[in-house]
Amino acid sequence: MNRVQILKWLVKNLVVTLVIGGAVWFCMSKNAGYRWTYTSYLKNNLDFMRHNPKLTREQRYGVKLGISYSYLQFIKQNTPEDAVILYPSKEDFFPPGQESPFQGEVYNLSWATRFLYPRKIIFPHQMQQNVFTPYISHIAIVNGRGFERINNYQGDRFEHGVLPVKSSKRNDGQ
Amino acid sequence: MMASSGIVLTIVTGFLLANCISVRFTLLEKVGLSFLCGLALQTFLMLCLDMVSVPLTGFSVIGVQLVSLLSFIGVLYKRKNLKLLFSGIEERREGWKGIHLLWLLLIIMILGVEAINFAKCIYFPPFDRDSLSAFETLGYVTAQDHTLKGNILYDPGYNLGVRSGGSYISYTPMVTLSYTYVYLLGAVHSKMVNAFIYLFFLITLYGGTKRVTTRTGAAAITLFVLLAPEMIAFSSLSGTNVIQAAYVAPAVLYSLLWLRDGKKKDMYLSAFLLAANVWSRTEGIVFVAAVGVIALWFGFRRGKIKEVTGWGVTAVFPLVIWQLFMVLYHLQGESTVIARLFWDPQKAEQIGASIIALMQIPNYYGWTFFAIPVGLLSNLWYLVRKRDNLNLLLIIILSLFFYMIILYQIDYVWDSLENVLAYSAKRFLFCFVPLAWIYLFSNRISVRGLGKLDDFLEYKKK
Repeated sequence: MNRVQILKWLVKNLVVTLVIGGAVWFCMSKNAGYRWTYTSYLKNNLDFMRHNPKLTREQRYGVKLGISYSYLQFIKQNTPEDAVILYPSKEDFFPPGQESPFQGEVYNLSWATRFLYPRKIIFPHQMQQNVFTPYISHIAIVNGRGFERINNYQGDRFEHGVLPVKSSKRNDGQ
Repeated sequence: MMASSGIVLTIVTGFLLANCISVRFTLLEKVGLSFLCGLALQTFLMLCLDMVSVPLTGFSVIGVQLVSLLSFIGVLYKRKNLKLLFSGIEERREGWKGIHLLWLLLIIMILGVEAINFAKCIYFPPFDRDSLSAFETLGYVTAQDHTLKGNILYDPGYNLGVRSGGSYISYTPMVTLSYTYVYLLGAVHSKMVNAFIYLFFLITLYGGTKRVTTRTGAAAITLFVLLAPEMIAFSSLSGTNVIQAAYVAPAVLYSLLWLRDGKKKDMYLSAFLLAANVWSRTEGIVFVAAVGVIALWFGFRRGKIKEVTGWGVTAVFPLVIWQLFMVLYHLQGESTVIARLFWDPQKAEQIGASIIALMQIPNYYGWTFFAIPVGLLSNLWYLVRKRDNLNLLLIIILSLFFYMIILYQIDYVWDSLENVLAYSAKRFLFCFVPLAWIYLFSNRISVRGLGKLDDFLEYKKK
């Protein structure tokens, strides 16, 4: 092998690669989108995954969905699979004029169904039209709202939870 | 474990399908196309199963996949092509000749960035709004209910808004059924579908673009597509737009090759991938229309109208089947299409201006859409004198124009036009990200320049 030839090839390649690579890097660094891709997307996600390699699936959901996921998990764990739940409305999750700890579209039927299936959920404003209304077995409470949907509720009040309809006087919530 | 086996089976089936289309693709092309073709086929077969009321179970979906796999093996055996599975007759046997450090740097960057992207995609379960509000949940519930048409979320007595305008009921089901597939096989979440689609899309992009530019150009295209900010962000989510872009780019590429070289293998693949594109999102029809306009012109010139007609029928076939499915099982939502001609200059101007403005937002696509004017100006002489890359330019312009027409002809009952433009249009433009970079790097001036660069940098024994 011709060492001089290889060395020339190497130097030539290094110089051109550094010049072109450097120019492209410089141009990309001037663009906010590419800077975001490098720092926020690639670097931050890699750092997070490196520092948290053993998070469970539930914990990973929690990282992204916060208390919304915890709330739905609580409902899931405290209702049977065939439950039909009178579910809070958007205004219950995000009361106008108030801060809410929830995030995402936790008030969306499909969104909530992903975590509560096979349980069914019905919204208060849809009770008259929904075919599953007669089968409501539980009422979900959020931000202390929803107790007014239970006739003559005398039990303790709480912030977030779920109550069986027939025994609405029994406190299943937090 | 079962879900991983399902992915492998999909790859193998897709690989055989690519070989059935033609053994004369390069090995890299066949590998890249394997998962894309396999998944499109598998989800279509699942819809057919549901259409004839066969429950969607692990057994039935694997069963139908094995039947297609064995059919492909049979076809290849009959053609005596089994020996050519892992080779490409036209593959340029480059080997290590021509490798240089710049190319190596590009490849290393592609591998590094995609490794992180792939890991991030798999690491987090589906959490974005569109996925949980539609495709991911639909896919999951379809797997639990063992039917798409009869799943609880399609029941208007339960999901009262499911037939309203803009509802997901009218979305073509490829993405939903791809999630259903992995859930039926026991996956804990569906992100492996998105991760593998994007990975195989990048392989297809690199392998396919090597036919229109140099090896360095192909690597540059792949890297710049990979780094497009919003696109890489959405590639690790569970939406449909990046998946559609993964089919559109190779579909347009093979359409161009077909129109340029007239080879049937490229025509068949173009038709299949365009069909997969409309199978993933209905508005992909704009790409069928754009390519169709040019194909028709070529068809008339070369006396190949029958061929073009067959191509067109194949490209829209899944859409026809899906419409039939919706009619048969009463799954149509409220139509939002304005089925009459009208002129609203304000709406037209808002759409046009918003699309152009979106393309220029650096946070979304980086320098992507500046590649088109740069490519146009640098190659102007060849464009004017030799009509170089004119087909691709026309496809980009026509499909964008047709998309604007679609936006114009829709009645926005479920949301404002501003929001639709800000969110949906932003994501639809992902389809144009690869096309823009392909345009820049496949121009004659770029190919010549890259060729000289490769020639300068490659090792030559004296």
